[in-house]
Amino acid sequence: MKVKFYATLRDLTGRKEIEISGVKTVRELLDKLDRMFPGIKKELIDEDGDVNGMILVNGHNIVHLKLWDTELKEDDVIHLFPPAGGG
Amino acid sequence: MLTERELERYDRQIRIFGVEGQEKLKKAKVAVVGVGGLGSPVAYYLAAAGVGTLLLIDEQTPELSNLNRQILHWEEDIDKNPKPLSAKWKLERFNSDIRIETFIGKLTRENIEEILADVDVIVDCLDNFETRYLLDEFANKRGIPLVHGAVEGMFGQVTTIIPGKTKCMREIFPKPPKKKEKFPILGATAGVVGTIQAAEVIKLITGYGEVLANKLLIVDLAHGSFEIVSLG
Repeated sequence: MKVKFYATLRDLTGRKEIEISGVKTVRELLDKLDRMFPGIKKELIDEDGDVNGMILVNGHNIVHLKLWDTELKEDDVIHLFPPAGGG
Repeated sequence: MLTERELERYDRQIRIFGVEGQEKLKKAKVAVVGVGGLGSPVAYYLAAAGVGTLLLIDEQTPELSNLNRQILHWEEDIDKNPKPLSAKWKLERFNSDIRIETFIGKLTRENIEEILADVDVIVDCLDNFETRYLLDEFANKRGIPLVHGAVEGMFGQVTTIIPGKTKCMREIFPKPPKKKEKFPILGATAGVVGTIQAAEVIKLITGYGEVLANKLLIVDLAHGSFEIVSLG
């Protein structure tokens, strides 16, 4: 599956996108990403354990899917955004 | 009907939208909610384009640390002129053909119906998600298009919410990010994102082109990238 990083997550990973395989859920994906890019989970999960920013699977926010248990397929595209709330 | 002066003033964009499009802009009323980093370029370009009535809403007065991005507010306005009045003063001198209305205060569940009663488009230039959700609810209830923008550092996002057609804001952003008292922001980021919001408003009113409906535009100036994520 393709994982695309945006904004400050590009600074953290040094990448715009990567190919990942062998993970079945968003939880497994984040665990794997955190081993590759330590600290990325902390950027995407707030202190309450909720999503901070946005995690989209094929354009759908995981909050409207099965959250961390959202299943992933090999041809999925995952977008990871840090939060932006300012004006 | 456009006057001779208006036909000349807007000549270069009438070549895009036609006289009919320009008349639609003249008849339109747009609410700019938040007259800060995003609201400044939004209001400035909508005034430039000849949107007939702008309603500027904000409860704050400019501070020195706002001036790196809130380009409608100047040194003389600091701690003195509330943001809607500070902006109105400049915009009226910039374009005397349009009408600038102001509301100094916060939108609440109690006052939103009255304040936004007759607007055609709402532009979200806010710095907090609580009021964004309130706008979202109101826009949905009343069927008014809402152009969302948000910025931080050197990145930001834009999407246009059309009730009944696209996802609403709460569906796209279900949980507000933690509100930061002081967040990093470059003026140019707010300039780019706000200018795109202004273009969205003009497309909504004139019917020209296509808006970012169910599409989230992610602007990342730090890495020089513009990407559109489909939300459909």
